[in-house]
Amino acid sequence: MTAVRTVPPPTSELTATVDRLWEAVTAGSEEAAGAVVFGALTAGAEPESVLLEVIAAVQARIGREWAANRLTVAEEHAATAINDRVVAALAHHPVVRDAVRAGPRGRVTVSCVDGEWHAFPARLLAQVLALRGWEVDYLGAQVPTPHLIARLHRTAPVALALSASLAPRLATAHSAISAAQAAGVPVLVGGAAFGPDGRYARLLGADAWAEDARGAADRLAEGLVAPLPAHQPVDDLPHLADQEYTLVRRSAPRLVGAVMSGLAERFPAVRSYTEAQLQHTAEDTAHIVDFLGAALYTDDPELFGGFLTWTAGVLTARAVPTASLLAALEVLGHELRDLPRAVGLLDHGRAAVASPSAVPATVPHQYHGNPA
Amino acid sequence: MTELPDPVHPAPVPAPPPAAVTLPVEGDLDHESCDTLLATITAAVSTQPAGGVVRLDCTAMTMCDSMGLSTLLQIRRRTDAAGLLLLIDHRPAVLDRLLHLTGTFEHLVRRSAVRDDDAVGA
Amino acid sequence: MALLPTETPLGSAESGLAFLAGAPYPVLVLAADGAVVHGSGSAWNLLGRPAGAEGEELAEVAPWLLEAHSRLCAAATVRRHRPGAPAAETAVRGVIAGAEVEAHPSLRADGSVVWWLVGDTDRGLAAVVERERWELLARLPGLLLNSLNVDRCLETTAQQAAAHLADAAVVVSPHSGRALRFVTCLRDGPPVRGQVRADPAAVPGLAEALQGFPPVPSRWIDPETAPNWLLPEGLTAVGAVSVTPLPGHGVPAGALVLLRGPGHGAFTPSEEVFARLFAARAGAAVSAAVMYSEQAAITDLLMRELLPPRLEHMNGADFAGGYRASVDRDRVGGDFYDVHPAADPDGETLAVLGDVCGKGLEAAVLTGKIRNTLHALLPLADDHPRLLSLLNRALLTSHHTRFATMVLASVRRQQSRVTVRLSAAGHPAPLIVRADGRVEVSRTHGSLVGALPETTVVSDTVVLAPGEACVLYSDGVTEARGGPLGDAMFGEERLLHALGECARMPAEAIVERVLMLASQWVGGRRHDDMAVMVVAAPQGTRLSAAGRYGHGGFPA
Repeated sequence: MTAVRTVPPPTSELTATVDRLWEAVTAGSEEAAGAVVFGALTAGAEPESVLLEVIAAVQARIGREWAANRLTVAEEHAATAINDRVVAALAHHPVVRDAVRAGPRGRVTVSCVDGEWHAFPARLLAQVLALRGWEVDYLGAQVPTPHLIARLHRTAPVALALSASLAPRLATAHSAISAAQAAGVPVLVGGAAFGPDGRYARLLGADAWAEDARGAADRLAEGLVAPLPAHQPVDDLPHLADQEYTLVRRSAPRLVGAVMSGLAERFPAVRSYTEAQLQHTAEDTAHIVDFLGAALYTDDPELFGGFLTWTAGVLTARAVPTASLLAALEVLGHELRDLPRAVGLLDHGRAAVASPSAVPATVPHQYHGNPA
Repeated sequence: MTELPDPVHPAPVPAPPPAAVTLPVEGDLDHESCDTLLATITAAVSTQPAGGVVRLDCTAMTMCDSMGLSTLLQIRRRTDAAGLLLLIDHRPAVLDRLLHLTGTFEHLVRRSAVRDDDAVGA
Repeated sequence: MALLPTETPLGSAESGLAFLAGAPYPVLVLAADGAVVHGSGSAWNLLGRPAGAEGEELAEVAPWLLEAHSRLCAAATVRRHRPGAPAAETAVRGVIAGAEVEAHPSLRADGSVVWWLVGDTDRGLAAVVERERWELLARLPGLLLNSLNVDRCLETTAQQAAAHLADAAVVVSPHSGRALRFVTCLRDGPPVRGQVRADPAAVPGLAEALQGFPPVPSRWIDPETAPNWLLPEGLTAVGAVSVTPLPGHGVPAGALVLLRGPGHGAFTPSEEVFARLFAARAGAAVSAAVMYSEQAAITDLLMRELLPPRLEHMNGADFAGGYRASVDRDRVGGDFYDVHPAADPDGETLAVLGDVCGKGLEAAVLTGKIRNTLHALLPLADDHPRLLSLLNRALLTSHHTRFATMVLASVRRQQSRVTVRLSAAGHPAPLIVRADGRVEVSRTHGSLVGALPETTVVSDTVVLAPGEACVLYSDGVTEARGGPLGDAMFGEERLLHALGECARMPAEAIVERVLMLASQWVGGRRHDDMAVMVVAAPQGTRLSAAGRYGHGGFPA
């Protein structure tokens, strides 16, 4: 939800438009949402500004409100669906059609990393690029990596813009980046998964990183250099030689099981959880293991610490004490005691949760779980 | 000189009861295993005289997907064509569920019970 | 094993060497005193010396060969005097220009010796070309094969050829139709695409090279005869031009034209070897890309036919569909969905979601057949049992028992409500999401289509109030295995629970929610195709978004 994170301060006029769109979207009224956006266009607002400073701002707010437990999952999905339709409808507005700059610049493929479900940032980027005269091949969020690469071979775009908002997708992103580069297509990445300053984009050898859709469009306009000849993804990350990432990934279900029985031992309340509550707890635990994996993959304790701090916030918003989170980390530390990097990450994570004042620099990596 | 029994022609044995062959279906019956099962059954069917019985023992079947069901339907066609009775025994709940969902229970199970020789596509 | 064609004429009939013209190996004929009587072109190339060099030069390049020759001739002399002496016609090994070569002698009546030089092709040639070039040859397949796109591959070929072989290179595309398409590249410059209406036959060897048949050797042509389009902009004058076919192994792979500036003539033998190896590698890569693109074009065509349509608001009801293909097997999966809008706004729209047994092209063909047949049977859509029975008959064959399961949904708007008549043929019954969050299972069931002699079906009619939805799905969703503990089925219960949270959600949001949960459930594990289609009674006015770009959201 937060790939377009740093929205420039909008003008006061646009601020009012943001509020009106927010009301329309949360009221579930597609018609009203369309009226707000088309009204702004007719009043002379730049289509790109409407996309990035109005629609994207509302989308970011949807994510924040959900995290703060002020929107249900259903409301969040409904609002996103309406926003999505507004973007689609906007493309056919006469003002927007006229605004498309003449002359095709070439073809760009826009896709989400396999397993990524936040298609909205990629859709926004696709729309901005279309506005700027690119021929856009928008693949959305349901494209398995082999299909993406096959498509690149067939269409030979000048670049691939790859979006990911969840850090656990970084390993998959890495293989997509390497494969696209091997096919001769340079890769620009964006989205919260790549870190607030794009640190993981550099780590994974992406050709470029952009903070937001506008930045991505500017960067593509500068032109990307054809990537160097193919290399093995593992060469980017020598620390993977210790196999800890693989071991944790492989044993994820067992680790979740161990945490579940560990929690039941320590907290009598867990023993009387309903099936649905157990399910939610297991899912939350699976997310923790996912992010531990991502931190092992990138060898970055901040990634794990940032996620845990954010999770603690989400749990607190839902009146769940962080003691259970700390207990889960303890169980994981015991289970993974033979893996020194994992133990280090878990220690760091416990410290991050225990001292909430130590808010990490990283922006939360959102996920779409069902908080307990 | 004593006549030795002709070793080539041993004493006649009584005729066997209607031939029955039982074949186990184990594990997942899916796109990976169905060809093997079909080949095994086809071989077994070819040695059975008409009027015989082919039993599939599904005690150890763990799963059956759409290719597995397609294979069971194919087996049924083969046994019908050869005049054999196909019995699918010890069906696990997942198989019965699939047969009911796809409306094939009648065809594969109940019709066998009443010995209907109406062969499909044979 | 023939390293190079023996182009040097072996016309010295007086020495009785005409038979060597067809020699499969580089060959040298040495007189008893070590003088060179004859050498094949390939032998001179191997030795790195111009044709007709003297024996002294041989001593420099391959002293071991001359030594072996002397020993052999001495032994032959001995044997002439003492017939019982051992024969000495055994092969010797040595190194020529860094490459190991085996030399097989055969003694002639006049006392001269024919030396057949047999080397390991690549290793032998490795020595012929300089290290740098050899390294390029080693790197080249990687550079070329990375992209399976024909144009990219031709660009790389032109760029590398200009950088290492000549002052400029032109690669003519094998896909040239009436117009010739080509890529030109100056040394160290970017590749530039171009096309021209010209007869390739005007350039000697080009037409054959583009046809891939008959096989022709590389040849140098008179620069004066080269047409203008062949001369890249920026190359002021041309000293020499060669045309080399890119060997495509049965697939035309185009032609490589090399241009050298003034003062440069034809290649030296070692350059020639390098150019041939370069062309062989480029040809292999281009032909692989050509074959891949042809295969991909066929698959694309099939996929376009099979891809579910982008669904919209139709005749007063909302339709949304989503699909996630299984990756671990073939690309074209077994699930499909379609919406056939009614001819008039008050009519019934027929929506179909189905699952075809099997995978890959076989399933694709069956899917295509089902969709076409259903389309033809649309006039009968008011009678689901009859339509299914006719479809069943059309699909029934004695060859196999492949079948399909499906749900038919006939949708009609009546004031603010939407009536949906549902028939499940061997398929999970659709789920109804009520406005208050209740989820009901529709009461339709029936037999699969395409493998049984007759079909049976019991239909069900449901009425949707504004904000209510009917969810059609394939069993790939409920049978998805995974979850936090690894091997549990997503199952109908979880689906019902998830849909309970979807009350009043737009159709697209329900589709996305279900696919997202099921995909998260499977994680990175294998899964079957998953398809979801939602028919909803709208709560408000919808925005029109006809003609969205691309196949947004559908598998590539």
